[in-house]
Amino acid sequence: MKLWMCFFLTLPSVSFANTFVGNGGGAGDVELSVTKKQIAEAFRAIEKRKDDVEVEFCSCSGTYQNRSVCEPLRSLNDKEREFCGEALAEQAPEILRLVNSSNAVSFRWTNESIRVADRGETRAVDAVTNREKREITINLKRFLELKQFERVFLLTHEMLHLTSLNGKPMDDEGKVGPFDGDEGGRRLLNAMGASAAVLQSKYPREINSYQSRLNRSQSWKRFWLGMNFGTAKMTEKPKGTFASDKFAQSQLTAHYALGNFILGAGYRLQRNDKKVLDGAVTVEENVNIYSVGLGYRIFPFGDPETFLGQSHFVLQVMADYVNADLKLSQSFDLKYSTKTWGGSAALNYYLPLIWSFWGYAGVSYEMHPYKYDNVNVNYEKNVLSQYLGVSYAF
Amino acid sequence: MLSKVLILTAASLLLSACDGHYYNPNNDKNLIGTKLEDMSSLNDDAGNDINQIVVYDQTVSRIHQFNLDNMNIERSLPVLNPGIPHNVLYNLAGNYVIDFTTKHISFYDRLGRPNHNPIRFVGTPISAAFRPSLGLLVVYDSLMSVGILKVNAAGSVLQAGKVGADLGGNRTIAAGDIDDGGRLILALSDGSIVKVDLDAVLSTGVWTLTGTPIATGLTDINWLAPVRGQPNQVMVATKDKMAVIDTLAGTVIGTPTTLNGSIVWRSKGIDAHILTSNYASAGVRLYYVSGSTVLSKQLQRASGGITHSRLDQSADLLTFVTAGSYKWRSASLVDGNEPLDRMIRQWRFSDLDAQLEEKVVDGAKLALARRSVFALMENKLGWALNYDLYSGAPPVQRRGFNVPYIP
Repeated sequence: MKLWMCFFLTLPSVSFANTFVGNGGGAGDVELSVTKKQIAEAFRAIEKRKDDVEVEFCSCSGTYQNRSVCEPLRSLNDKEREFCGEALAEQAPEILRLVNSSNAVSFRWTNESIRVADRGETRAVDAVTNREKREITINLKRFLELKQFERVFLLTHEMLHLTSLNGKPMDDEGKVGPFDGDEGGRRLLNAMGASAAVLQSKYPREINSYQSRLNRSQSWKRFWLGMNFGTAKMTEKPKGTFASDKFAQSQLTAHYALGNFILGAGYRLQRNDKKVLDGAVTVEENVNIYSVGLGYRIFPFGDPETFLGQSHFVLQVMADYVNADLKLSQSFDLKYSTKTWGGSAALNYYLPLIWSFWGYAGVSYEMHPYKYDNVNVNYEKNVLSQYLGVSYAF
Repeated sequence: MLSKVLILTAASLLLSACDGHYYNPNNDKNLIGTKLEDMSSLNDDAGNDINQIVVYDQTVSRIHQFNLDNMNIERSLPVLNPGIPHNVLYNLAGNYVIDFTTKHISFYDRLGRPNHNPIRFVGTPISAAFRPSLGLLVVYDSLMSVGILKVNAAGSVLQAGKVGADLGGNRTIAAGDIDDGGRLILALSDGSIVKVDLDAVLSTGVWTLTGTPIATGLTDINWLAPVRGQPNQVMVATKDKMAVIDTLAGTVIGTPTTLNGSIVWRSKGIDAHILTSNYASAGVRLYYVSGSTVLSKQLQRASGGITHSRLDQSADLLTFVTAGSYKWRSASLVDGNEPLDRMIRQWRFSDLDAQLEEKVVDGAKLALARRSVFALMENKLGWALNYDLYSGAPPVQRRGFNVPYIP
């Protein structure tokens, strides 16, 4: 037990510049997709209302009134607010094109901190846009830490860098319209990003929150801990008064996902007690099984943003070390013990719940025949177990 | 009407109380030899202690042989007819085992080789006179047939035959045993005592008597026991009299003794004895034979229902195992009592100076030796204990001996 725990704790945290975790999506993929959807919906809402003089886009209200995301909007004067609203309306078609086209802009994840040169100094940022390559690089860890409206803010800001306003690329530096000073561009971009971020509260019917998708557990997580309960049944009823053909099973599992490949370990306890010999003798058997092995994940459905898209099969092949104890009791206890090695194959189907919890069901076929000395209990046949469990991924 | 119902209820309670597995003195009368049990004796036919015992365990349908020195199982024998009750006898010198069950008898020699059914019974063997030192075994079955077997020192059956209980002349067998002279002595229904020529019976297949029938003057003899160390004497008892018979002279020695009260206990181990109670005086009266005379001792402060007794005059020891704390005279008549609060008590017989009083496990079958008790617990897994009564040490135990044999 301790061995495999150590094994997992010492696994290296692999650095990755880009992620691909099978069909179930990679880290941040769902958040990025939802963010793009919300940006698209926000700009559709802007485009729909661009001619409505009553509507003021670059202002903060409602849910986000006192949030920091509103800071860039609160500081706007009337001219800036008006300019900001016009800029949003003007850029809406281009932003929608960028968001909806699969190759108009590429996104790249990084686990490295992103630093940019800014007026002779370098500072850390959460994302950076390469206008020439039409590529946005995002710090994955930071992106996952952000709240959803912050992601919309960040990504809108970065995507606006890929657009032009009045024939000029939208940059952070320099004066733009009524936005004066060296950082006028940044103030405008921040105001536009903030506007897109807060619009969800203004138009909740048009801009979805996608909360269920964001809360849904995602399969790209690397470390998985689980527990399950079920039954283990011998494929053929064993002979012998003290032998059991059915056990209650409880199991602890852990696995480490490397893409679709899995390193797995587990401990399961198969237990049975019964009365024999006219009810005079109590038989208790505990089978402790320690497993390590390999597995492979199969995603039968494509879209990682959907419930079924996150669901997946895990096929595992394990080496089992079996330590079994048998106790016979009538006025006194007689204890017998045996050890053996074996193997098992398991097929589990994982269904995403929320907050990184998963439900799963599985079957396992185990081959570890064993017998006890000095008592007629000989398990020659194999075991088929079935179980239901929950798992937590992180 | 109500009184009739109460009487009937009380009668049925008494009847059911008398139907248990516990000692009922009526179970030990009208037998040849000693009632067969599923556990052998801890003494040989000369009354000496032995260190081996065999027991039949119905859980596994096997006969286990214990070595009491270390409580190891020396061997375990499968029986021919498993799943039904069996009884056993054992001879240490030949290290052979005799197994009895319904319609059936088997001999297992020292190597465990079986000899099944040297004679066939129709009924169930219920008692036997076993004198391995003399090479004789006489078996009495539930249908009154008598099996006679000559056995050599290794337990091989040399001759065997079966005869009925009718000896002619309106006489049937009432009780019997083999005396220390190696003769089968029978008490017959007409009150006479006869000596049987076993060789002649085996060769002819009919009852052949030697000498003249001994007229005892007693009626309804139901118990006959050898007198240890007296090859020409047996003791007999009716429901109220006891006498010593000189089988050589063909006479009753002295006058039959009238028993004081009703018989509450009979035993042939090691020296045959009888206990009576008259419900008027305290305790019980012990009758035994010494010096060709029926003697008795009144045990005033006895208590508990008797489950086992052992009188060994040569060792000067009288041993009782009792259950409960009620008085003997009533308790021993109530059958079916749970064997709880069991005590073993031992006296120096000559002066009844108490030597020992110890607790013995409840719910076990017991075999008594001079200074030790073997207990077989009612336990499916197999649990046996051996008490050394005077060591003060806890009993040596053997637990789970059945387990390897439970399929």
